[in-house]
Amino acid sequence: MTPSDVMALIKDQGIQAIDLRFIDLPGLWQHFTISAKEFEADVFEEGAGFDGSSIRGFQAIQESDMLLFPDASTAFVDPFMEAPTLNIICNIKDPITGESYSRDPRYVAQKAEAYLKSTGIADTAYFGPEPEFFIFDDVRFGQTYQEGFYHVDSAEGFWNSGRVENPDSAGNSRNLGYKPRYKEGYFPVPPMDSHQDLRTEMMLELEKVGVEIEVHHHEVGTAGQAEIDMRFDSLVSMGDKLLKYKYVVKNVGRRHGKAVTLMPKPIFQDNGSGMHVHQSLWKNGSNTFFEAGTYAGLSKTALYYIGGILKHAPSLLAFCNPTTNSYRRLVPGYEAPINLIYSMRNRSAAVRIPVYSGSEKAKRIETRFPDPTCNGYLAFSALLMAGLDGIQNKITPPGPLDKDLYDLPAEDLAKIESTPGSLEESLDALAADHEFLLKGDVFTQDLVDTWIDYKRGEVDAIRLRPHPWEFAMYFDI
Amino acid sequence: MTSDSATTARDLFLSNDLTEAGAQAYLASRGFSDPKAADEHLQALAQDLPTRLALGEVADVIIDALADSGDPDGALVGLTRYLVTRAPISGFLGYLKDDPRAAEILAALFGASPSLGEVLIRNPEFFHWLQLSLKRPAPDLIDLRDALQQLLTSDLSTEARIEAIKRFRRREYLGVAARDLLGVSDLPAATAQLSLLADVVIDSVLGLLVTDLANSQSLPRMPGRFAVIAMGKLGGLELNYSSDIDLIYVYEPDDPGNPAQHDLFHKLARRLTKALGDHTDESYLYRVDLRLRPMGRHGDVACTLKQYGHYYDSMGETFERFALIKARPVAGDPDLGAAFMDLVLPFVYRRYLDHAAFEEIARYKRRAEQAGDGERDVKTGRGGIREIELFTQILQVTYGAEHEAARSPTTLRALAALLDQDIVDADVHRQLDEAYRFLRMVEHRLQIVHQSQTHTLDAAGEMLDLSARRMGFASAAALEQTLAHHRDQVHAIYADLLAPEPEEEDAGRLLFRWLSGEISDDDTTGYLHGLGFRDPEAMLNQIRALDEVPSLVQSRSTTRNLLSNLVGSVLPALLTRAEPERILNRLERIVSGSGASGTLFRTLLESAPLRDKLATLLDSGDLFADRLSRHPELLDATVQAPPALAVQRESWERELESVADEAPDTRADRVRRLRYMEEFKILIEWLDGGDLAVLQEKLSGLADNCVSHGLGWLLHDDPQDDTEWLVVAMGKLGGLELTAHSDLDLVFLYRGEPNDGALFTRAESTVKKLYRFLEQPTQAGIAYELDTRLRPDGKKGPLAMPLDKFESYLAERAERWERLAWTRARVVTGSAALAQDVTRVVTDFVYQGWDDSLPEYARHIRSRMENELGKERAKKRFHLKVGHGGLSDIDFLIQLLQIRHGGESPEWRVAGTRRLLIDLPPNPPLDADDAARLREAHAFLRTLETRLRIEADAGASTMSTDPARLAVLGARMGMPPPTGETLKRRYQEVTAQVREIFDRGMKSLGA
Repeated sequence: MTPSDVMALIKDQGIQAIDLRFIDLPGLWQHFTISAKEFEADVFEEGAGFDGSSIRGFQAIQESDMLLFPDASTAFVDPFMEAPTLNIICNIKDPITGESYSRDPRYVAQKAEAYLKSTGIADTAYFGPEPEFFIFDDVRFGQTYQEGFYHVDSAEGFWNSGRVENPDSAGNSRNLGYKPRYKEGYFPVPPMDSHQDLRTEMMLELEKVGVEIEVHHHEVGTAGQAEIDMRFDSLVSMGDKLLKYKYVVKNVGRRHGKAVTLMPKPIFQDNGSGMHVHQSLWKNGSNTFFEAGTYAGLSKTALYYIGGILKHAPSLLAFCNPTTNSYRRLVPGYEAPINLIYSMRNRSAAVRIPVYSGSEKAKRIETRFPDPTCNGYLAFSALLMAGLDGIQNKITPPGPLDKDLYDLPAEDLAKIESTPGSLEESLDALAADHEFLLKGDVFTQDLVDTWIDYKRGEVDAIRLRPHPWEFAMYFDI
Repeated sequence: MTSDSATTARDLFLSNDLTEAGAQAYLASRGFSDPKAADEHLQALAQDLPTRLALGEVADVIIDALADSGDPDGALVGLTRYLVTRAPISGFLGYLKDDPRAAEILAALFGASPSLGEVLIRNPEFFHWLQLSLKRPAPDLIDLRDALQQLLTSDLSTEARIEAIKRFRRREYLGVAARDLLGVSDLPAATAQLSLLADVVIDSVLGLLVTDLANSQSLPRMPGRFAVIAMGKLGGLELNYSSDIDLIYVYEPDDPGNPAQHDLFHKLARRLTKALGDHTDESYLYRVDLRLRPMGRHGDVACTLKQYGHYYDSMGETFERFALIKARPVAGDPDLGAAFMDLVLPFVYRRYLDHAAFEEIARYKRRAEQAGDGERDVKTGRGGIREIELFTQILQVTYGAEHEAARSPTTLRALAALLDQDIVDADVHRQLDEAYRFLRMVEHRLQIVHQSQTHTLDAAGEMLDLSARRMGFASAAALEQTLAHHRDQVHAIYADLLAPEPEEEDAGRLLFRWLSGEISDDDTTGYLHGLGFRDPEAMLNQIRALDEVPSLVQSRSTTRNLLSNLVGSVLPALLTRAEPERILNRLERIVSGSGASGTLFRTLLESAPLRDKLATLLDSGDLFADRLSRHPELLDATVQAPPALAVQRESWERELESVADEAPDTRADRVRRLRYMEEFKILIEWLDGGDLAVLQEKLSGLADNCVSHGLGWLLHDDPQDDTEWLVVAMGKLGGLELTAHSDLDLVFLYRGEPNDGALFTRAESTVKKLYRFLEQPTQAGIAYELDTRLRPDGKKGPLAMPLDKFESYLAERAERWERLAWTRARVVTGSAALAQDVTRVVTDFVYQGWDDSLPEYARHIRSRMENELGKERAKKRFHLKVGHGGLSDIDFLIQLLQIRHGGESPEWRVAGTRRLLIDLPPNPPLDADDAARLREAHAFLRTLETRLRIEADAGASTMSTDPARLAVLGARMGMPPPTGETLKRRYQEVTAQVREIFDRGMKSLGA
């Protein structure tokens, strides 16, 4: 879509509001709205001003003025707003020099795509993330000086199998059972799966806004864990789609009185929500990751790409798993991909080669540690940069392990390196290893430093607060 | 066969016996740290038998080259990836065998810089270009420009051409890096080549965008000029492989009043920035940093010369001066670039010390010392590149004003110039030069690895070893040792530069610190007292007052710095002045009036002659302070060479002619301005050692001019009025002896029927108008005070008189003393015919024949004047004019002589004592010695009078008899100390002598 297409669309569809969107540094969509009456085509050339000072991770207050440049090709009609509203994703620029803003995550992704082309290794990087999420009926939390708690609930939660539900007029419980057992949500048919219609509605709304969906299903966790998989797309475009995805699933949930969360580990003991990321590099229409007759049909290029990802994994986690909660998911068990190896079938490996199909088109690698709290533009770009570093330096990954890693004797497992155990460790790793991100100026030192500072603030926020379980362990000491 | 000394590289491909372990052992022995991976990469190349055979043939050459490179493992990966691009590999391998130098080049590149290696892998054909290029000298600016022009064929789109420029830039980088790595170029040459390349690239991109933008606006060309100024490393011709380029943009629109033109150039600036920094399929050209522009991030993307001038003048910060040392025009209009350089030169290089700069540097130094992790950073760490640059820049800023050679933007050149000028000694120069080259080499090698902005040696042992090898060191330890050695030396020199030197306390710095509250009043007064100031507290009060004058345009610290420098620099000179505190006090008046204290301080600092002159002027009294506070623009006049009277008169004419048709108010203002400005200049010329006679003639001429124009305009305004006028000057103006604060003695005559009442009324009205015109105060002050008491019938007489009446008045009613007064009559302006008639009438009156009673009468009058007006004894004062032996003695005597001899000898008929004394005709009572003595006395008294008037800024003619109160005046008169005593004695001697000659003369005349 071009600017003039957008203007025509506004006219033809009776659009009344234009919603301009951009992403903050941690990865949340931000927006403001312009009346369609005021919206003129020159906004695409001249930009629209906003104050960036209170946007997380952006400018200091004294440098707050910024411009949004709508990217006409991203325009889509909003499925939720009452008045006809057109959403457009924007790039951020300096109002005076017109320079792209180096902390705009979308710009990082654009530079990553350009860098890939400039290396000649490939011309397109495809990404296929698989975000998982929970659908709750009730979410409460709070922390004060003398109290801290959270409470989530879902009619599906197996912990509710014994509670009084739907009492009739006489007050007799009408609990109908059919709540997925812990870790058994994947994936019995309804009535056990009570969110089928909801997920289908999410899928259909996503398709309406241009996000192609391949499959959706209940996930392993009880209490409404879900997965909806998008068809792969190129890097920037997939960064856009991930934001649409989060927007649509949350708002369809809200439409039905449900609360959707993409935080990785809202429930103790059951599975967390991850976001496996499938990747492949294509050049002149062919998949550079494919080579017939090799292990898993992988080319040397793919192997080196994996080598790069595994080598830089500790540092990559700072972008791919950027919350303190992320590391409550990345613990042994729970299919958590914490081992820095690759494998065809094993799901505890950080990188897996899906073997659903042996065809060239389907050949890809799957990085399993990321989770949906990441900023897609930054996480995808970081993964690509790590992979390219592997290719350029011919980094051979440790040989594939196709044993079930969970059955490994302890001493063997000890030899396998694993992902960092906390956000703090990941940030330390990023601080020590980010040269590969700076190549071609894709990430800037400033962005990396800002990211580390920002995220260390989150680490500290948790460090400051007593945890309920500490009372269980230490109160009586 | 196992690994032993017999294994050769050839065996890796062709031996049947070599085991994997053996191959790895061999590779390990050749310096590969991951021999397993190395062997795998090599074997992976041998896809088929012909390739394997070819590999075997050339293996020695390849392995040798790799082993010699900085990073055998990395070089091997790069080389194998490159070879794959050269299908069939066997063909290219044959080529390598024939040309071992080729393998060496490849290994060196891949071993030193994976990122440059990527360029080769992306563009395999560049290698042949590279080989050819290495055989030629490095391209200069013209070569680069030509080569680039050839690539930019005209049928491509701008985008496509910019992509071509990107490929060109990458290719040329490869050339520079290869020369650098193979030791063909040294570091300064390599960085200069990278910089020239950037110049050419920026200029070409700009050229494309200019054409595009003009076309898009349907303009034949851009409406104005645009230039790109580089600062930082590019400005210094010191660009690294991965430096940011610091740019600022300057433009001059054809029509500065047209906002659209400004917008257009801003747009051009944004497009250029974008084109240089945009990431596209061919990557990007340069990281552009525009933050050195005025107001940094918040400033306009491009500015006009005027904006730069205003900004640097009023808001420029110290760091910006340092940054501008490295400014260099690199693209766009060269004349505009040169104009920019001229503009900033005085901002950067000042002719005075810069305490704010030193304070800032001291802060910088403290910060650098506190930074703990600075150790590993070769740029900003202790003893790093930044310290050398700062050291150099501090000295450049300090000495650049005097030593043009020291202004080079290039650090090494600037250091060399500082050595040449004896500003640094040979040891310091050698140590810094070596350290700079070394540190830049380290930085350079670190950056070439990934073309990223690394300045830190990786602390991890393995990486450090790799870095060390890439730099040609045997081990990390050896590198660390050399590094430490250089850093220690640099830091010692740097710290030394900024160390305080107590025995050589700079006065300006002390004052700056005192004003900033860092030093107590007591210490400061103590210091001033030590210098010899008698009243240090008063000095401090005045300096404080100066510091507190609000400045509308400059920051407080800027102004304070300038003030401290200014006062510091004039302290020694102030000591020799009569009244140092009052000089400062008067300066404060001027500064308060100007509203731009900093600008004034800077102006004074930048000109020692002006500074001295102003001190002289302000020390001479209130007159100059008053004039300057009302007309700050007069400051410039203080150092202009004074033109000759004739020239000056012409310019006065021109100036007044130019307002002939303006409204009366405008004319009145113009006359007043002219009078103040010109009087100011004339007084300065005299204070500067000029001749008093010149002062008197010029001031008289100026008054003549103002009066004649004033009258001329009045008549001009009333075309009906065809009255024939004559203005006659008497008194000082008549004798061409006008000085500061002299009234104008004027008499107005016209031709007409004495009984024509209407004419008379109109004539008087004209004179009244002229009075008003000259005397009425406007905001520009008054032009002149007129004194017409010498007119016929004095105060009560008519303001204007017809010739006939005048004639009869002189013949019938004039008093005897009027003959004396009319000796000084001089025509100022009017009808020539009337002038002739009046002159005849006056001559007849004055020189009508000797009257014996005249001397006695004159003596009587003179004595009354002395007693009744002079009152010297009663008022304990000397009256220069009417006092004992005063000017009147000389005037009366000379005038009597004129009247006595003028009848027969026309050479006596000269208006004014001074002029007559220059060449007094021979006469019996006064010999030549007497004449000389009178001449000297006259000059002495007139000088004293002028001094007094400048001091008081009023028309005084008296002075105290108290030697203490004469001390200042004595000093101004150049009397030897004790100045008051000496002046008094001298005055008494001179006046006694005058009186003696007066008495003698009067007696001989018969009194």
